[in-house]
Amino acid sequence: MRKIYLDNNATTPIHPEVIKEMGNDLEITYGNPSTLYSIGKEAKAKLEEARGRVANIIGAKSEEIVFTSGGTEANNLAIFGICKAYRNKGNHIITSKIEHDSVLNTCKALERDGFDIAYLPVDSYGMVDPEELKKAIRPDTIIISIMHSNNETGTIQPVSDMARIAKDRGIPFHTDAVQSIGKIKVNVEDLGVNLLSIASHKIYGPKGIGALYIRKGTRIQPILFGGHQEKGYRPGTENVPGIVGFGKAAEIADKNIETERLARLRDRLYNSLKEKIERIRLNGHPTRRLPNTLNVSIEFVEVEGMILALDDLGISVGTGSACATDTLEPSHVLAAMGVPPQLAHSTLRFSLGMDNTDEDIDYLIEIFPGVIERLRSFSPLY
Amino acid sequence: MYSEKVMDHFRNPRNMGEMENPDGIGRVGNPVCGDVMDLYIKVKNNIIIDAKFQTFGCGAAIAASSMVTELVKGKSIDESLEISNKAVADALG
Repeated sequence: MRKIYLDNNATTPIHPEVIKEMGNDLEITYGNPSTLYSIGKEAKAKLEEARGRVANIIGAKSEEIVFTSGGTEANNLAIFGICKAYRNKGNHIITSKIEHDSVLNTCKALERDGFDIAYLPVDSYGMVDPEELKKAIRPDTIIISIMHSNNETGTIQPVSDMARIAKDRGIPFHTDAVQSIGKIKVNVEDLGVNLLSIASHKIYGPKGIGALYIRKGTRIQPILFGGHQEKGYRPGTENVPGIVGFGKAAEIADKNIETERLARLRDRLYNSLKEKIERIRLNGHPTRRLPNTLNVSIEFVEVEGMILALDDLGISVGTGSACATDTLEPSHVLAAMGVPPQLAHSTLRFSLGMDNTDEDIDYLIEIFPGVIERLRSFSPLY
Repeated sequence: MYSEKVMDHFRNPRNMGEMENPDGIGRVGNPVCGDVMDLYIKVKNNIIIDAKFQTFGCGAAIAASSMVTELVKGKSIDESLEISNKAVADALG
């Protein structure tokens, strides 16, 4: 059976060259990078080479990259770390209603510790308004954390505008760019952010590794304690094979960014589905959106049925977010955008990646309307 | 993950669809919480001679609806009222 993977926002397959590089690393450079003999120094060299590659993809300097166990830890380090460093200055945090759980739940944990959190609203496209940010800022605001693009809808936030507002007031700005890196060009100088989170497994690298960009001069405290690794920001013997794989993935992603090709495939998919299926609607911004992401609500069909039926046909697609799959709660992102709950229950996310071809899209266009017709025949609401 | 039996009832639901001239219709749930089931029955001499359903819901909801229609067919109204959640779950393995 044909296998088509269309859930690249959940995770990506590993690039074959990354596997090769990691295999080599596991075999040869097993040394501890903190040691003085040659096998340790080789590992250290590999680590620093990878750091340079990761820095490169966002236009940062090597010394501004701290490796973490992934995007979740990067987001935790950014927010907790700033709050620890600035605790004497204030206790107000600004974020948005549509952040990933690793930001939202970090903020909720701080809320329980006495911090005040402002959750900025979004418009019907899922976009934060910089004017809302201006209004929310208080003298005691110590960090602003707004994602670069949303994992469910792909809507790209006006981060550079918001980072400028933050800079004018001397407030550190963090952006979770996990979903944007490798899909669109992201440059920390253009954005003007202080902190930015990246995850390897969204750019065809291994899972369990990520990074936090910390702009030189940003005051931040560690949240883990141990050795001097990562300049003390993230102690613990480095995950060298993971870091090497991440570095290779970053190098490849930087060269092979596929914005136009993916956008063309995605738009062809949506335009065809719109022609063949009635009562289908797009969630997210029509143009300011990641090129690979298509989030649609298909009225009268419950999402799980669509996922199971497509899986039977060899096609893997996601609900809004992988995390929401277990809870069956309607997505907090769609709710913030004003999508009614019954439509949120009928929402599917296609997220394309490097392996997807025109033939994949043809196949999907051919079979999907039939799947919907069948599932709608089950539905008392249709 | 779902059992094979649940997946079978999801893939090939029994008695799915609207019924013409039913003797009874029941609706439970609402679209806001994500599950709605319509159950139709035809009754003769106090026996349910036919049952059909339409369900908006997850795979388990569709499979459970399908199984319920199988369980009630041929039973009296009183016997059908005895069918519990557990009986449906047990029937689905």
